[in-house]
Amino acid sequence: MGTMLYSTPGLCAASGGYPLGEQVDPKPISAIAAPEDLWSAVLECSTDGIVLVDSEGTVREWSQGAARIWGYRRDQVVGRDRGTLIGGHVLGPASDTDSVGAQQAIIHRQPGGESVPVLIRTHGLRDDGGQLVGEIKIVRDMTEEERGHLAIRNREHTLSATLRALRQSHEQLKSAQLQLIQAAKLESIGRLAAGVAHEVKNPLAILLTGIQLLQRRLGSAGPEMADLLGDLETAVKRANGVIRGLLDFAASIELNPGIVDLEEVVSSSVAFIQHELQKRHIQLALEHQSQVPRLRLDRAKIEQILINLMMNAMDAMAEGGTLTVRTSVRQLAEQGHGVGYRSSDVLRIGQTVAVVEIEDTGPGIPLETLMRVFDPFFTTKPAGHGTGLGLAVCRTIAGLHRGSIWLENKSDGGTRATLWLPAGESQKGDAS
Amino acid sequence: MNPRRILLVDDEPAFTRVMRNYLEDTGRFEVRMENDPRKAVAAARDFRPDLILLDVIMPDMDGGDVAFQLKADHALRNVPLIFLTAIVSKEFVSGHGEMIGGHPFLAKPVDAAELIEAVDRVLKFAA
Repeated sequence: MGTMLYSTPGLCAASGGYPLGEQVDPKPISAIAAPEDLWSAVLECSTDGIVLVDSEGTVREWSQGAARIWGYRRDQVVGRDRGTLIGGHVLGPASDTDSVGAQQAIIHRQPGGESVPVLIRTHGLRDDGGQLVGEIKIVRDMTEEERGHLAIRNREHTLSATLRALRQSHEQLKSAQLQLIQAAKLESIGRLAAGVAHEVKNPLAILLTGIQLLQRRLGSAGPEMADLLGDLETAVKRANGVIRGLLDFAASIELNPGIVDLEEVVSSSVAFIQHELQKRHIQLALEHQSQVPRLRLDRAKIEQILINLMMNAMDAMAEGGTLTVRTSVRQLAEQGHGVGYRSSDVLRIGQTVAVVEIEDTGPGIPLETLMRVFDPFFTTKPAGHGTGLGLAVCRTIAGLHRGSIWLENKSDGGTRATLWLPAGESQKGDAS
Repeated sequence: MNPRRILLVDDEPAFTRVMRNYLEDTGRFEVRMENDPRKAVAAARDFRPDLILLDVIMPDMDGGDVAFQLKADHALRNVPLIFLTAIVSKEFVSGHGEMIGGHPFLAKPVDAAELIEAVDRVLKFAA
C-alpha cells in the first residue's frame, strides 16, 4: 500500500476537473482507477492527515497531510506503536468502541517546537464479523480556523468595544439633548413668567387690597366674616407665591456677580434661618474644613440657593435634628453628577471646586422622588407650601456659575445637598 | 390735620378704585385716580399731590416716561414718587434696596399696611 502512495501522481491533479457546463457521462470508479490507486491518491492529496491504526495500535498508514501536521515523516511512523512512537497520546486514545465520528481537539507540539491546534476525528474499522480491526483517524490542522476564530473573536471584541462606545455616546447625546430640552423649557418658562406675572399680579393686587379694605370695614361684623376674609387673603397670597416663584425663576437666568467670600455668604444665609432653627428645635453644625478662596459669584443668588437648601433640610426634620453646613475646597477626583469628561459635564475631573454641603438628619428622600426634585413644578410639599420651583431655580443658578448641585441620601440616614462652585485659577485671578 | 394728597396713576381702574377706598378709609389721605398715563402730568398739575403712586407697565406710556415728564416739570419735580409694579417680586425689590432710579419701589400685590408704611416714610422724608 505504501509503495502505491506515490505511484499515481496524476490522480491528484485536483485543480483540473471538468469544464463547467460540459456534459460528462458518469463512469464507474473502476474505469478511472483501481481502488488501491484511489486510496493512494486520497492519502497523497488530502490536506487533512489520514492515519490508519490497526487493532494492535500499530500505525499502518500515514498520509502526507499527517506528516505535515504532525511533523514526522512516514518512515518515522509507519510500523511503530501509536503511543510509544510520538510520546504519549498524540494520536489520541485507541478506540474501544465503534466511535464513528468521535472527535478530539488537542494542541500538538511538533518536533520543531511549533504548536499546532489539531482536530482528530476517529472512525472505527470492523470486519465482516463486527470485530474491531483498527481505526482511521482524520487529522485536521485547525491553525487557519483558529486564526479565523481568533480574528472573529478580535472583531467581536472590537465590535463590542465600538458598541459600548456607541451606547455611551448615545447616552451622552441623550443626556445632552435632555439638558438642551430642559434648558429650552426653562428658558421658555422664564420668558413666559414675566408676562404671566404682570397679567396675574394686577388682579391679585385688586383682590388683596379689596380684601384688606373689607377687613377694615367689616372686621366688626363678627368672627365668621373675619375668618372668611382671612381665608380669602390667604388664598390670594398663596396665588401670589406661585407667581413670585415664577418671577424668581425668570430672574434666576441673569447673574450680577462680584468677588465674594463664600463663607460669609454661608454665614449670612444661616442668619436668615436662625429663627426657624430655634423654632423647630434644630441644632446647627457649621464646619469649615478648609479655607475657601474668594470667588466670583452673585452673592444674592448663592444665598438664595443656600437658604432654599437649608429650608428644605429643615422641612425634612419635623421632629427636630441637626442641620450641618460644611464648606471645603476640593479637587474633583472622580466622575459624578455633572463631573467628568462628558460634553454635558460642567465640572472636570482634576478641577478645584469650592463645596458647600448641607445635611439633615431626616428620613431621606425616596429614590423616585430624588430623581425628580430638580424638575420645575415638582414638589412633595402640601398645597400652598411650595411652588416646586425652588430647586429648579437653584440648579439654574448653580449652572450659571458653571457649578453643579446635587441631592443624595446619606448612607447613615438623612439627605445631603451639595453645591459645587468652580474655584480654579481664573477665579483666583478675578479675586486678585 | 388736612389729609395728604395722593395721585394714583394706574391703568387698572379696579385697582385704583379699591386702593383709593383703602387709603381714604384711613382718614389721612385724599386720593385722585388717573387711569390714563398720558394725562398723569396734567392731573398732577391740577391736583398738586404730596405724593404720586405710579404704575410702571401701562399702555401708551410707561411709568418711567411719566416719571421723566414729572421731573421735567418745574412745579412737579419735587413731588415724591413711589413706583408700583407687577413685573418684579418682593425679593427683587429687597435685593435692590427697595429703590429703582432713586425712587421707592413696591411690588404688586402690595400689602396695604406695607403701602401705608411706605407712603408715610416717603412723606416724612419729603417734609
